[in-house]
Parts: sequence; structure tokens; C-alpha cells
Amino acid sequence: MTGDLLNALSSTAFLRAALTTVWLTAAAQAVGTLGGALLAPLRMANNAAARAFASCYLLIFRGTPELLQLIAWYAVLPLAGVNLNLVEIAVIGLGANESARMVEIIRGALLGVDGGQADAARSVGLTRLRALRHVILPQAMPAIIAGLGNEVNIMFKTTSLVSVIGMTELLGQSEIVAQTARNPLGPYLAALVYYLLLTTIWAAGQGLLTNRGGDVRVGGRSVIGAWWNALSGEL
Amino acid sequence: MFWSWHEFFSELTTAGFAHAAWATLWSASVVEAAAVVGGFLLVAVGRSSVGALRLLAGIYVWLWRGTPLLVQLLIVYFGLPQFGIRLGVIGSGIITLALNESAYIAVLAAAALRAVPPGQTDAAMSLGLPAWRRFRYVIFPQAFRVFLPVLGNQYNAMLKTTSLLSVISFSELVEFAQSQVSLTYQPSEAFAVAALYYLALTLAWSGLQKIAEARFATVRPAGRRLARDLLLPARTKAAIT
Repeated sequence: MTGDLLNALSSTAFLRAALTTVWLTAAAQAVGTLGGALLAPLRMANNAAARAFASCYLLIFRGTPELLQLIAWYAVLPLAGVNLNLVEIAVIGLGANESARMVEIIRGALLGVDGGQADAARSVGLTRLRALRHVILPQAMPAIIAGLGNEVNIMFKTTSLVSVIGMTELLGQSEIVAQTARNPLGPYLAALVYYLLLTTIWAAGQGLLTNRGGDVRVGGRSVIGAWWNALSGEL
Repeated sequence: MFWSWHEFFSELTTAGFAHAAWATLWSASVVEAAAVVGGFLLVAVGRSSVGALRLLAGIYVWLWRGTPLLVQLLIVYFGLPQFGIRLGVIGSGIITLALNESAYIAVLAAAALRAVPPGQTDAAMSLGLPAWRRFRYVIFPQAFRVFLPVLGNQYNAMLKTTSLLSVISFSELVEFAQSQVSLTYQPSEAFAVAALYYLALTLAWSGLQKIAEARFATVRPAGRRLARDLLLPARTKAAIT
């Protein structure tokens, strides 16, 4: 088993699959962030039709499993005459779901800014758009970026679902190897190690980002302590 | 054909879908119940006075939360038989989901405990309450109010997470929808029916959750009089009015 694991870990196929996971995560998260940024204003609009549209979108995409959504995109799009390749379906499927999650993060961050800030900005004569751009958004940004960081961490793991529709990312690659291997555990463990590396490294980056200008002590003790706290969930 | 209402309604009234929805419901319930027990145990271990135990609990959370559930599931289902450990579809599915969810529940429960102000412990100590009673009568009731809505959300998510069990061929909603598609070649209708079942389950649960939260809330806004009068037992009502 250890041999299988080490073989898989050191193979270029797995390294390539890990890179696929990384760029798929980036692409899906980018689509999701853009979608969330477009939907959040609709969700918070005065216009009832816009709000209803956003609410229906959230209901459908947050009320059904992401796996079902992916399988449905994969099976139904060709019937509707839309022929896309696997990568495009994966990015759209993951991105459409992520959009719904990002709406809640962006909305939560905007609502978290004190209402007096908007009133003050309006009272000094800023238009609604300028008040949003220069007063509200800068204050909401730290919460949005923190939420985005967590979403990327989750997205690394969520991309494993696209193996079900046949894409060769980390899990897809380990399934290919496992099918012909005498011992399937090795390739699956290799995928596990890669995922653990990705999420652990990402958490470290996140810690550094949020600690910027904070209590980074000489010797880095507090940085590593915060990193471990984030990973182990501070029981 | 892209969409046929006839096919949609014949799928909607298939008894198989109702059975599959039941499988989704009971598997999510068993997993979440087991995960609450597992999560609380993890918190107890994670807060032990023995450093090695604390480290073990931390490593457990790190491993289970840092890797995808689907990979964990395939390792238990396809990988463990290599060592003669065969848990079957239901066994592997339930156990893996419960072990995974335990890690998430532990983190959320620990956060709920931290949300109780430290002054509460100090006050309980100054009254001379021993450790267990401090926890049972002072800390736990307050942390529980924070934890209950969080647990409700986790269960809502779990209803959807059990869809991953379709990959190891456990016959829940997604697996059943796929098997229907392989018979009828009509994916839009089967997946729409599965989606409707999920929406019904998650919306019904959200409704129940709202009722439960109104029941356990400490401060009730005036507009909620009706809900309060309907839901509170007479004794509690007398105490607050």
C-alpha cells in the first residue's frame, strides 16, 4: 500500500491532476464571485421583481445538492441544444452554485456596515452609487475577502464532485488509477494527501493575509499558532 | 425531447421517488444524530487536560475537514476492503458521513461554548458550584441556545450532502433519479422531480427550525406574541408575562 501511495504521489499524472484541481478551483470561484457580485444587488434591490428573481435563484441553488446540479447540467444542457465540453460544464456548474453562496457573503458584509454610514454619505451629497463605491464597499471589503478565502478553501474540496461527470482532476485521476490497480487504496490516499496539502497551504496564506499588520510576533510563533488554530478548529 | 409534462407527472407520482426521499431523510437523520454525539465527544477530548489528547482531537478535525468528503467515502468503501474491512454500502456511507460531520459539529459546538461570556464561569465559581454543575446549569444552557440554530443549518445541509452516497450506489434521491434516467432517457424530468423533493425537504425543515427557534428564544419581539402563546408551555408563559 505504501508503495502504491508513493508511486501515485510522485507520478506526473497526479501532479498534473492537482494543477487541474487548482485552476478549476480558481475558475469556478471567479465565476461564482462575479455571479454573486451581480446577484447581490438584485437580492437587495427595491424592485420587487429583481428581488424575486434573486430569491428564486438562491432557493433553487441552495435548496438542492450541488452533485444533483452538476449531473443535471451535464445531462440536460445537450438536450437543450447547448454543447459544451466537460471543463465548461464543470466551471458553469460549480460557478452557478458558488454564485448563490457568494450572494449571502456579499450581502452579509454589506448589511454589516453601520446604517449611519450610508445616511452620512448621502447627507454630504454623494449619489447612491458613489456612497456605495467610496463609503460602504471599502468597509464591507474585509468581510467579503475573509468570506472569499473560506469559500476557496471549500471549493478545493468541492471540485472533487466533477469527477462524477468524468473530469480528470485529482479524484478523477485516482479513480482512473484505482480501476486498474490491485490495491485501490494507494491512489485514493494520494488524492487525499494532495487535497490536504492544498487546503493546509491555503489556510496558511489566509492566516498571513488576515494577520497583515496584526500581531505577527518575531519568530513567527503566533502566526503558526493561529494557523494551527484555524486548521484544528479551536476545540 | 427536452421536456414533457406527462413524463414529469408520471415521475412525480412514482412510489420509488417517495422511497428514495425517505432514504435521504433517514440517512441524514441518523448521520446528524451520530455526529452530534461524536462532535460532543471530540469537544470533550479537545478540551482535556492531557496535551496529547488535545493534539489528537485537533489532528482529527484537521484531517476530516481538510479533505473532500467524496474522497473519504471512496477510501472507506473501496479502499478499506483491502484490509478485510467490508462495511457495505449503508455501513460505509453512514459511518463516513458521521465521522466527517462530527469534526464540523465539534468546531461549531466549541464555538458555541466560547460564545458564553467567561464572567458566567466566574460567577458560577464564586457561588461555589462544582465543575460539572457549572457546565450543566450555567454554561450548557446558554451555549445550547447558540448551538441549536447552527445544528439546524447543519441538518439542512446534511439532507443535501447525503446525495454523495449515490456515488457508492446507496439508493437515495440522486441515485434513484439517475436510475430512472437510465430507464426513460428523460433526464430533465427525473432531475426536476428529485430537485422538488429536496426543496420540499429543506423548506419543511426550515419551517420546523423557525418554530423551534421561537420556542427556545429568550427575548421575543412583540410581534411574535401569537407564536409565543401557541408554542410555550403554560408554566413558562406565566413566568414571563
